[in-house]
Amino acid sequence: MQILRTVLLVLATMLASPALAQDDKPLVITDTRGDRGMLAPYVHARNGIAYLYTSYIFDSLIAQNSKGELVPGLAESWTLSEDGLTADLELNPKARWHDGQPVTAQDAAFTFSYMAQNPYPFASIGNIEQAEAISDHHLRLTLKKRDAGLFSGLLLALPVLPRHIYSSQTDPGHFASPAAATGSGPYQLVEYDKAQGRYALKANPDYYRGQPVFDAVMIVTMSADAALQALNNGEVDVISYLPPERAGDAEAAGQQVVAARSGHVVKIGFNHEGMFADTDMRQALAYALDRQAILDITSTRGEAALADTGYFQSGSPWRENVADPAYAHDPGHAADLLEKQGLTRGASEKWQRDGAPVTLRLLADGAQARVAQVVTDQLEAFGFTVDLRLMEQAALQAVPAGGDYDLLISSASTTGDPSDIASRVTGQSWNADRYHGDGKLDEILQKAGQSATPDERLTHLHEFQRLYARELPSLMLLDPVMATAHNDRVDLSFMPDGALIGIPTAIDKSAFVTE
Amino acid sequence: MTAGAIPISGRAWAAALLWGLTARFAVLMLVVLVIFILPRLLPGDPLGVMLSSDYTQNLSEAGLAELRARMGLAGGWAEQFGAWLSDLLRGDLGYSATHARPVATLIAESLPWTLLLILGAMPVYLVLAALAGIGAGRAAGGGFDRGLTGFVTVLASIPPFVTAILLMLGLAILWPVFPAGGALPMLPSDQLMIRTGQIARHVILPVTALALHEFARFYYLARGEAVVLAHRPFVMNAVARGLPPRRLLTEYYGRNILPIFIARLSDSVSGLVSAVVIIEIVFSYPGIGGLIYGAILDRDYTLLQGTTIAVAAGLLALNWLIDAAGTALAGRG
Repeated sequence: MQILRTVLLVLATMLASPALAQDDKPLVITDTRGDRGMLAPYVHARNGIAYLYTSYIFDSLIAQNSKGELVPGLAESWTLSEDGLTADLELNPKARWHDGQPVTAQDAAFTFSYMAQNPYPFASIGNIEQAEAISDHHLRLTLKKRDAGLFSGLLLALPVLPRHIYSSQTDPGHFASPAAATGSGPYQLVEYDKAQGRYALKANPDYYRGQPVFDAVMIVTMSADAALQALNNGEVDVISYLPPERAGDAEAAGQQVVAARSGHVVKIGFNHEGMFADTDMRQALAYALDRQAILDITSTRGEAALADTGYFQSGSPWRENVADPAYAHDPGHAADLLEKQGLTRGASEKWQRDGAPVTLRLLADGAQARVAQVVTDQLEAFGFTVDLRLMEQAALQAVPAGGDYDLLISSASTTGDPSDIASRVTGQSWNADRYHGDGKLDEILQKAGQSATPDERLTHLHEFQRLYARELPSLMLLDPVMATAHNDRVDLSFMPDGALIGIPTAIDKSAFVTE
Repeated sequence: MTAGAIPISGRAWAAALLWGLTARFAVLMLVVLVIFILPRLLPGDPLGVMLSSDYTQNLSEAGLAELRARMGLAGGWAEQFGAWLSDLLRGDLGYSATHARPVATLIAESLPWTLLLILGAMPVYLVLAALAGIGAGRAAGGGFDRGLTGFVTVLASIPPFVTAILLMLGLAILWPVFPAGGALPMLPSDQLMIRTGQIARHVILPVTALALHEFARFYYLARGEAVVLAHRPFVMNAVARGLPPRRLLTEYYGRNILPIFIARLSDSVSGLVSAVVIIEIVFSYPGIGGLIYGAILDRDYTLLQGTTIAVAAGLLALNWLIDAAGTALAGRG
């Protein structure tokens, strides 16, 4: 019966009016993928873009300017004690929730305790011993151990929740009514049409950091082709992700295009419990492959750049600005390394071990089919037999570390605060490196996380970069380029290390607020 | 009118209906069991897929266990099945963690769009197939018959997703007279009339694809029946009397073909629904097909279970109703 009632209701609303008044002239942004879920922390889709949209509505204690530098968010100022275990934050007394209630230190303290009860996947608060409101605007955080990424990682990422709304919600995953989207950010959610993947936001008139740049923002779902046409017609203002090979089309039509390396690299992961357990084997593979040729074949119109091998990609503020080992194509050196590992070349130039031919089981994410095919061709030309299997992501995820594969081509993020790198290197997720080696990399990352000063942290991270390029937990192949097209109503740019949690985007919140 | 139908008494009819209902309920129970097991045999884990973004942080074991329990994935299969079945019996289809909405709401939001496609396509292909089939069948072997039947045979061998892609390529991309996808333009009008027009414009291509898919089946049926009818004495007599063609068409051919169409409808509806799923995916139409497809990719067990059961229950109910109507029509003689 309930279904029937809702069907009738939807039938009625299908024909009813949702749109904004035309004279508001909202800033219209297109998204190719569509529905990202309700824009509230526990119910948005679990991906970077959904998180990004939610950040328009929910402010964190700390924010970023358009260059990616930390600037005051809900916290006007912050200090860290000498031992690095106590952080004091002073909240902006002008901050208000979208329903008019003041944002207080109690709200912030509540957020930490609430997230301890109800895990929020985009912010890990495991290191917070205690969060207490000393006064209405003074928040004190006590840490279990030093965390060099406290401000640039956790406090930048963590959306502060309104206590008066969330305290009564025992299961926030089921709380998706409009009230769930009551934030303190520059924009308020006016309308969310799930079926059409459309969001209408309006400026928060009482925003504590000043009037937002646009009175209204709309996010609509459109294919790249339709979006380009609509941009030229003036119906939309921003194409959030334009395929880089279409940049020329947009520019020819007089639109502006910004592009940058995403830091979301395509890489070859190794089965470290199999034949690639040894660093020499991984280096041999690196020399056997011609990464430049892989790039030239798969990226003919500037879709990607050659990736740096030392984890961090060019442009990252964490990267030491030196050239990483390039592993330039050198089949002779690769052969030497393999022979040192006991492999021999058989009659037909095929690699053998103990007289049996060596077959490499190569898994790849379907999205990387072209790269996987070129890698396969190169390895076969070098004398390996390759068993290539393209799989969907959920199935790849079910392949355990040490499972039935030798090589795995995937894409993975390298951006965002480095406090998360350990999980991307030693973690067990299918696109993590799943690498422990002799434990040295992990140790360096631990030290980086415990650093007392930013300089000390950088020193450790640079050491990590050098060691990563030598040990090759994964071999970085390509760094895809991302592009955003827009008209002159906005001024957009990509942050060097991705926005907030490392999302490569030109439409982060800083573009829509006055700095 | 026609001979051959066996008259059925009211009581026998009721018994047949009851038996049909029982059988269909048993089928539904089988669906419930199968749709619980099948997704769990797919590689991949719902929570793993949900947290697969590179930006998600490592949650503690306790945190993961908490999320798993809230998604109804705690305990073994038997425990999960028991919990789900008891919800199901209370009419609760469960909650989709990926969409953060009750499954019933998700179905209710997408069902109208799917129904729009099906109900839009049905009259098109039924009427056109009847007219074309009768036209071809009453002059079997003629030029019209040979040309059309040849064409329909080619059409019938094209799978629905190919028809859909060809239509999209031809009429939305190469010659863009219709929108390539979606159910509404990105900025829909707030005026009822314009909005209805926009919905209609978006529905034309998917409805055409769907109608083309079903057209062949009913064309053959109508043609075959018309071939037989054309040689029946009462039809030949009517033609000889010089009956107006329209009356001949509706009262002589039409009325006799109707019960056969209805009988065939009941077993074609399931094919129609599987075609609509594919067509919705091709045209990114916001119906139940896209919902099911997404649920498979996301390993959203609850949503996959809920949508499948809703579709199966709907189909079985419709199938039962059509059978009942068919029996009643046949029984009338």
